[in-house]
Amino acid sequence: MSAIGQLLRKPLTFVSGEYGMAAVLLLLAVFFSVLTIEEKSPEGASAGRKLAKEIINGLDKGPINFPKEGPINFPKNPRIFIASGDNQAGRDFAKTLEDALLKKELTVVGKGIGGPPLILREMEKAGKIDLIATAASMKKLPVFDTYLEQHSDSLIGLIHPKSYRWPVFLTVDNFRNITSQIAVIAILAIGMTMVIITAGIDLSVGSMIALSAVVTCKIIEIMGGEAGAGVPTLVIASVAGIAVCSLAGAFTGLVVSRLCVPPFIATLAMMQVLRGGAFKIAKNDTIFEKVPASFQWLGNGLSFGIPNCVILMLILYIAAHIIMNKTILGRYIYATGANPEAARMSGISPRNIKLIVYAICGATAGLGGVVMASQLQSGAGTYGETYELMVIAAVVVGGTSLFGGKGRIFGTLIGAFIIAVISNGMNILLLGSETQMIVLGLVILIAVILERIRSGEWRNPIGG
Amino acid sequence: MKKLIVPLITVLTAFLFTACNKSKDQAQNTPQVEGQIVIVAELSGDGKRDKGFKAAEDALQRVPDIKGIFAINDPSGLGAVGALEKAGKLDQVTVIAFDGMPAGKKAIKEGKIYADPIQHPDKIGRECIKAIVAYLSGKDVEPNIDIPATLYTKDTEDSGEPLTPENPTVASTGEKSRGLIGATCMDIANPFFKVIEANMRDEAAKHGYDLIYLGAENDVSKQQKQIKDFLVKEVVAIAVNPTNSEAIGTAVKEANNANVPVFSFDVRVQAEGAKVVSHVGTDNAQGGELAGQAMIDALGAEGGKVVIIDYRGVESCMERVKGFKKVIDAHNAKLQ
Repeated sequence: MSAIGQLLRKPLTFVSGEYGMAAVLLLLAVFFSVLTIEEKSPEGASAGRKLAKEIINGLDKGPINFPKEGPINFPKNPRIFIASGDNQAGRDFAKTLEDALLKKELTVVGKGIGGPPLILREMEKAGKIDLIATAASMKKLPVFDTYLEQHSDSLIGLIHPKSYRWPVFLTVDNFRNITSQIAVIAILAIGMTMVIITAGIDLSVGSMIALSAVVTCKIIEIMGGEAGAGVPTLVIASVAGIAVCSLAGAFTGLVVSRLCVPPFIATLAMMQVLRGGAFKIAKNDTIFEKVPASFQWLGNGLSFGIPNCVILMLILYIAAHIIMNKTILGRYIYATGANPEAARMSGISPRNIKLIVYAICGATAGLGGVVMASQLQSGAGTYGETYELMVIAAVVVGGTSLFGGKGRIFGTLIGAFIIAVISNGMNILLLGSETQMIVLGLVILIAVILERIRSGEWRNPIGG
Repeated sequence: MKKLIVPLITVLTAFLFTACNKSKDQAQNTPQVEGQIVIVAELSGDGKRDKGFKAAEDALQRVPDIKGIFAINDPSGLGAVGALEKAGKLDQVTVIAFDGMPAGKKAIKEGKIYADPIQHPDKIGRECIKAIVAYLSGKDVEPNIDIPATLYTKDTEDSGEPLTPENPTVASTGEKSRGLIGATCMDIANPFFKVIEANMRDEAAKHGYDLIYLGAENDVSKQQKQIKDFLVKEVVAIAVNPTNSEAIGTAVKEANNANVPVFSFDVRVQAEGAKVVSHVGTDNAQGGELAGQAMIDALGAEGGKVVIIDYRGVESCMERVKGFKKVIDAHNAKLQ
C-alpha cells in the first residue's frame, strides 16, 4: 500500500500544483478514448499480408465466411477479385495481397483500385468471381451488393482483414489532427500570454491572422509571376506577413504605453482597422490563384511523421519558456505585470516592456496567420474571426491571471490543448456544434474557477 | 506625439472626404432614360436580419427615393422590410429577397416582400444523399446536379411543407448501419441549412446510412478541421458546403488522398486539384435573373433607383447579384 502511495505521491503533487490543468487534459483524453472505442480497420501492406494468410489458411480448412448465407465451401482454387481504395494504403494493400496470393499460385482474376463505379466496372470485366478480397473499411460498400444482385446465380464470398476495437481518439492520425488543429491558436497564445502577464490584453490578434495571411498571399502572387513562386519568395512573403503584424503590434504598443490608452480599447480599435485592411488588400476576395501547393509545407506537411506546424509550435514554446524564465526580459515582463510602480522604481521601464510585448504578440499573430494561410493555401479577410477569444481562453485556461504578474508559458500550451481536445473529441463523438459551444464555455468557466480556488483568491471579500 | 496627431487627423479627414464624395456621385445617379433601373448602392447585409435592417436604413438616409431593394436572402430582406416599415415607406418600395424560407414566404403572402426566387433545399439535401448512395453502389453520377430556382409570389400555391428539423425521422440505424456520411455546412443557424439537414437525415436513414451534420460558423479553418475529423472517423463519404470555395481545397485534397469521396452542395469547391465527385445546388445566377425580371415587372414603365443588399465574400450570394445585374443591364440597354 505504501509503495503505491509513494508512486502516487509525485503525480498527485503535480496535479494539485501549478499545472493542475494538465490533469484536466489527461482526464479529457481518457474520457474521449473510452467513449470512442470503435472498430478500426487495419490498413496498408500489413493488412494485405494478414488477409493473404487468412485466405490461404482458410482454403486449407474449407469454409470462408460468406456475406449473405453463412460459411460455404469454395473450390480449391477460387477466382479472387481484389478491391481497394486508390490511395497509398489502398495500393499497398492490393499489391502485397496480390503478390502473396500469386506466390501460392492462386488465381487473381482482377483488381479494382479506386471509387465504387470503377470497382464495379472492373468486377464486370473480371468474369466469374468466387471471392472478393477487400479492405475492412470497404466491406460494407453497397457496390458489392449491386454486383450480387446482378449475379444472383453465382456464390460469392467476401473476405476482409479482421477489424479490431480501438479508441478512434487514440490514433496517430488523430494526434496529428489535434496538434495541427491547435497550432495556430497555440502560437498566437504565446504572445497573448506575455501581454496578459503585463496585465494587458490584445483583441486584435484575430484580425492580424487575416492581415498576415492576406499580405503573405498577396506578395506570393506579386512575386511569383507566371513561373510560380519558389522557396525564397515564400520565405520573403511569410517574413513580410509577420513583419507587418509585428509593426501593427508595435503601433498598438505605442498607443498603449505612450498615450496610456487602455489596451482593451486600443486593441479593439486595431482589430477593426486591421481586419478592414485585410479585406481591402484582398479586395473582398480570396487570394489563391498563384499560391503554389508547395506553400502547404509549413501548415500541412510532415517531418518525421510530425506536422511541421507542430514542430514550429514546440520550438516557439521552448524559446518562449526560456525567454520568460531565464532572461532579464522575462523577469521584467513579470515585474511589469505584478507591480508596475515597483518595477519603475527599480529601474525598469514598464512603457518599453509593454511596447515590446505587443510587438511580440503581433509577431506571433503574424506567424499564426502565415501558418493558417499555408494550411488553407490561400488568404482572405475572413480568416481568424473571433480567434482572439479562443486565444484568450487558452491563456486563461492555462492558468495565467488576467490581472497580470502570474502565468506560465507551458500552462498556455496545456490550455490550448484542452480546447483542441474538446472540440476534436466532440466532433468524433458526432456531437453538433451547438453542444460543443456549451461544453467549451463550461470548461473555460470551470478552469478559471479551479484556478481561483487553488490560488485562494475566491475568498477575496471585494469580489472578482 | 502631439506633432503627429494633427497630420494624422488631416489624412483621415481627407480619406473620409474622398470616400464619401465617391459614393455621393453614385447616389445621385438618376436614370437617364425613362424606365431605366439604376443600381445606386450595393451594401453588405451579411445575410443577417440586423445587418439588412441597418443597410436598408442607411440606404434610405442617402437615397430617400429608392424604388426597389434586392436582398440576397430572406433574413436580410426581412431586415430591409423592417427598416422600410419603420420609415413608413414599405408601400413605395418593392422588396425582392431570395430563398423563400417560411418567414420569407409569410412576408410574401402579407405583401411585404414582392417575390422570392426560391431554392429547394429539401431537394438539394435529398439529391446530394442520393448521389452519394448511387456512387457508393457503383453507379456513375453526374458531376453537376442542378436544382433550378423558381419564383415564389403572392399567387404561388404552397405545395406541402418541406421536411423541417421539427419533424425528423429515424435518427440512427444502429448496428445495421452501412456507414457514416459526414456533412458540414457554412452556418447551421441558417434555416436553409436546417432544411437540408432534415432531408439529408431522412434520405440517409432510408438507405441505411448514419449522418453527422456540422456547422462551420463561416470559419473555413474550422471546416477544414471538421473534415479532418471526419477522415479519422472513417466516414464513407463527405458532403461539404464550403465556407470558402478556394480555401477548403486543402481539406478536400486530404480527403482525396484518404480515398473518401467528396460531394459538394449549395456552393462549389473551386480549388485546383481538389476532386469532387458531384455538386448539387441551385443555379444561383439563374435565381438572380428571376429576381431581376421580377424587379423589372414590379417597377414597370417608371423604373427607378434600386439598392442591392449583398453578402460579400459568399460566392453563392454574389452569383445572385451577378444574375440580377445581368438582367437589369440588358433591360436598360434595351431602353437606350
